[in-house]
Amino acid sequence: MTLLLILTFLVSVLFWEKQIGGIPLTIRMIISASITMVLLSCLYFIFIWTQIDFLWGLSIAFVLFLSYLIRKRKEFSFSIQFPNSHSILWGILISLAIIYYQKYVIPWGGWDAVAIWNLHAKFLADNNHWHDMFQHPLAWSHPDYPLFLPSLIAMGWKALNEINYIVPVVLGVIPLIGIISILFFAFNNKFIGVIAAFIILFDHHFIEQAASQYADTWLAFFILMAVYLISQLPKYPQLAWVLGLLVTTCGWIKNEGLLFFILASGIALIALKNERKACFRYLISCSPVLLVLVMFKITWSPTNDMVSETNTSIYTKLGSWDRYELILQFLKKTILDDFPFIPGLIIFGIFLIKKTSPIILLIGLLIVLMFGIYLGIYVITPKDLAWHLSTSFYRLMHQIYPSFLLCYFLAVEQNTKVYLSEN
Amino acid sequence: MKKILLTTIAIILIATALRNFTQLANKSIPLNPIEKSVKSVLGKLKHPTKLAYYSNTIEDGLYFSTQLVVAPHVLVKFGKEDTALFVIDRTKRDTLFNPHRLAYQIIDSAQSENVKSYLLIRQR
Repeated sequence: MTLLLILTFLVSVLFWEKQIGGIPLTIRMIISASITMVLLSCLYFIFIWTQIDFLWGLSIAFVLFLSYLIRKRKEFSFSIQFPNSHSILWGILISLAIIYYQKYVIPWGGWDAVAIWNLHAKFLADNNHWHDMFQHPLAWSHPDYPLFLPSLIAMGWKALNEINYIVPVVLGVIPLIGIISILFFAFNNKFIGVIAAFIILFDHHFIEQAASQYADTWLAFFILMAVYLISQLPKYPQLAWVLGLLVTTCGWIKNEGLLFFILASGIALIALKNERKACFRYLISCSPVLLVLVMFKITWSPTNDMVSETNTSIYTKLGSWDRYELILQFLKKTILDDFPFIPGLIIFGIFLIKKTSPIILLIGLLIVLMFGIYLGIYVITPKDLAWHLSTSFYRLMHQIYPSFLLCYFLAVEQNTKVYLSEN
Repeated sequence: MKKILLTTIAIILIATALRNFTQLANKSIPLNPIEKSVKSVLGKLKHPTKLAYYSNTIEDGLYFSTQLVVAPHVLVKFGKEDTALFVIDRTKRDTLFNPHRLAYQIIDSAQSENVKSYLLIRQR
């Protein structure tokens, strides 16, 4: 099964790469690989639910993708060229990222990786007893959390025929590589791309969080890809279907991703308001993953603890200034301790960024809204506020930080072009 | 010249990254003692869905970590189930667990470092 999984993965990536046009090749390959992982994850869950051997699904997918590629073989041209300096530099950055990741990673990962993601994966790796993870004694392990990461881990274990910590360790480094690569190749100005990638690479908090093997870095990666595609919509509205798939997947990765799905869909439809065909494609492409997610939520998932815990004093909390003060204190502390570049970037941006395109403004609005709603949730949380902030605030910022950098440097790139053309 | 230098650096770093992955097994894994002691007794189980569970750690950290090792069995706090798994941290003082005073029979036990696991079934 390992060989079949690898071959299916490869032919699927080549298939999806052919369907995506316009954007740089490396980003096309990254997005194609991500689409493949999303579809494999959804298929794995469907097959284990319906008690059909996943080998059948893999075999059918492999045959379908391969037959398409054989029919289109004349469109493929392979030429071996020595990579240019920019690509070699990318290779160096990725290798450094992996080495830093290895410095912090431990087998089985941090607390949530042990108690939630790898635990759920162990259940999903057992065809006969997988649904035991929804039993009441395991309510503490958040069985309502979506199954993107656990299903990928379980699939890896099935392929190896062994439950080994190396699978979640390797899966944990993928979003980190993806984030650095997207930031590196997203800009026409290569120097800006190098700066953006370096900011993540030398952020040891970010790497440490990725090495914990939580799903937050995966969510940050998919949010970044979606934000990048939104920035490309004015030029390539035909990418709307890719955007829909990636945006919906955010809800399949973590529950916070559902918030991003709603906000990003609104922003995307505003950006595509003059492209009715693209709007339609966007909405259609949301449906496969959304269907799987809805089926999971309705059929198996219990109510989320944040929703089920009684919260009779929302109005009292909304009027309590102590809560706002505590949240702002945490915000200030987190930014100064864990995201020290942000204040400097904002000050620099005030002087440099004079005007931006409408699409970058929309992306900025998306990020601000996400962040604002996250803060709002803390105001009314039924949990102890200090505990909730200390255990999750950094991770929420971790999810949107790469997209903030992308948006920021896109604005800088635009204004740099304007400044150079005026002078 | 610049390309050759960059390529050399890239090759060295890629080789270092690959070598580090092979050395990952040497890293100390906090779950190792739990895994070794619990796995060796689990083989005697005939796949019950639930296991009664007891742990003597103050914060019950062993409970959550053991859950990962024991999955897909489900651990419930010590109660009425016929099969029980006791995972004891021997470095912590425990006055509650004495297998000879319980209505359970010890089927198997295994110790790894400071963690000892007992598999018990209810006496009839």
